[in-house]
Amino acid sequence: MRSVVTGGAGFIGSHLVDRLVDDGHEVLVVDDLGTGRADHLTDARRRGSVKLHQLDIRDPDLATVFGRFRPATVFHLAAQASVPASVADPLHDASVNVLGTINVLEASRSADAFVFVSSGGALHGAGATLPSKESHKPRPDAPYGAAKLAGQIYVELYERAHDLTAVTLAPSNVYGPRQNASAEGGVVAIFARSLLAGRPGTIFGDGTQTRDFVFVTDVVDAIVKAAGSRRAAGRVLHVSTGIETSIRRLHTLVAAAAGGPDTPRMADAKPGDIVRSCLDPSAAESTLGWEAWTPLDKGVAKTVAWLRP
Amino acid sequence: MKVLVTGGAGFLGSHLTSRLLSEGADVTVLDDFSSPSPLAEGLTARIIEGSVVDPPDLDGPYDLVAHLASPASPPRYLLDPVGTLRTGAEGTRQILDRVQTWGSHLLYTSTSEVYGDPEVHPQPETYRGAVDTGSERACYDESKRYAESLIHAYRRTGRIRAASIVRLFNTYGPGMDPRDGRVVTAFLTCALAGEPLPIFGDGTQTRSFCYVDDLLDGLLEVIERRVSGPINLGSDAEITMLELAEAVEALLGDNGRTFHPLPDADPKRRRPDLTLAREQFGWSPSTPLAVGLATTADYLRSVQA
Repeated sequence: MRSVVTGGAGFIGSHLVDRLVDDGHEVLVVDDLGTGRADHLTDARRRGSVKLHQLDIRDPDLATVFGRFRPATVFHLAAQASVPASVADPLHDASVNVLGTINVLEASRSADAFVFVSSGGALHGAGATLPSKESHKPRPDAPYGAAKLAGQIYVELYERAHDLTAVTLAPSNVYGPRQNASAEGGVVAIFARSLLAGRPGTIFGDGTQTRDFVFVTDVVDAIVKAAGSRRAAGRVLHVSTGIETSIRRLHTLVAAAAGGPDTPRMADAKPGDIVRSCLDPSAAESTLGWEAWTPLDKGVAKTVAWLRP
Repeated sequence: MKVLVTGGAGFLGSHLTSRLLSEGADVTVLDDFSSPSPLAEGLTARIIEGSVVDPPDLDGPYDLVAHLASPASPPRYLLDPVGTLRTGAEGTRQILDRVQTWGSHLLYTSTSEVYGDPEVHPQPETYRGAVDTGSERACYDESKRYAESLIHAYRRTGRIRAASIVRLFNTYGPGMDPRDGRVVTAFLTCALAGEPLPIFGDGTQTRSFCYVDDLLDGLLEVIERRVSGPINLGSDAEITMLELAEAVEALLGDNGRTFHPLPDADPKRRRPDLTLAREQFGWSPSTPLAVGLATTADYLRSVQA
């Protein structure tokens, strides 16, 4: 099986490449290495067939690159992934996340299956009923969410207009080894870095704000299960645990794993930070037979172990 | 891999135990030996004799707990409806508490009976079922439904994470108890004895029969691929009881038929929607009915000889 992974040198993308190699796929990674790192693929390249093509997903040559490789499945994970960056420069964000996604879809018209990894939390915004369902009217609070929403509308359009089994997965806060501490959900990595250095983490706000943390290899498992699924075709599925964890509780878990002091420094809340966030995973469960299996304490322990110097 | 199979001495349990042992797993069987079935030749598992309702020391932890223990054939569960409900409820709770302590992956074998007498055909996993709580066989249906709910509750409250629920449709094959009251064994034992085949109702009610080796292939895929389910496993080749009778007569000779009234709340049609299993691991049963019936008949002949 031949698969393309855009953003395959990134956090989730590189874990997906690891899994595809284990499953015997030939993989072409398309990544501009802006935030992705080639060394995330070192192990996968040793174990299987992984080619890395350094290219921006907006590049007009993308269709030629895909055409030469003839993938059966395209996993589209490349993105401008920072919410604050999208606020600072919405045009650049839309250029990558909307136009880039359209360029990847155009290049994928000869493929059989397409999986778009969007964002769950960024679509719903503040005030949604929890846990949020896919059927809730999306109401993004930042350009990033608006662009991801546009991307998934294009995916659904290509699913109907072309012979492409396409699905959008919308993960909640993904965490795990290789996560860039600045990215969304990076709070696990940020706490872990501080605590491993013997310093407590900093909590912005009173710590009662909640997130739905899902471990990266569980997300990868959902991506693999969604690829080519006729049942999932044309749909948007949350990839999440459905469990709310407060930031204060997370600090306790990271402190226990890292061995640092569970005495977080408290700072003022960041403006625009969502108070509570939790996504209902039941549609993915019944459609894909998938469920997030990694308990938070185990996932945190693995993340801390990876960061430990 | 360390595996505990509850009900590992039963029909399906002994097949699962044999398969896991032959793949190199370290298997322990917990069973009360109320309906024992032989393991494949040359294989031995560690046996702990006891009931899931009040289990002895199980010597954990285990990587995988396959929880199969339950009366599963109508004569067995109708004989002790209260015990059947206790096995589903208290037995499953006891196992879940241990799964929580050990951090094991749980495989739970639920049943197509959770769909009751279904109003939709075939039945997808999303169908919620139509069970009459007051019917005779509800003791089995509801014990399995309760156990599924209990697993969801343990997941939702964070007590366990890794659980696979499979809903098994009618399974047959060597190792079945000749007196289990299931239609396949009833027809085969009658035909082997030269007796007429008993038909309930007018024989137009349908079932789908999955050969046990095919089912095992599906179960192992579910375990390996961490499919949470609920996921249907079974055969979607739906046949009437009259067609089954014809297949048995073609194999073992025609001795005529007797007709009997339909039992209480006997589902008229049952066929799995296998989309999820096909999409997730390309599984569908492949053993032809005539081949599976012949192998099963050989087994029944050997135990009755």
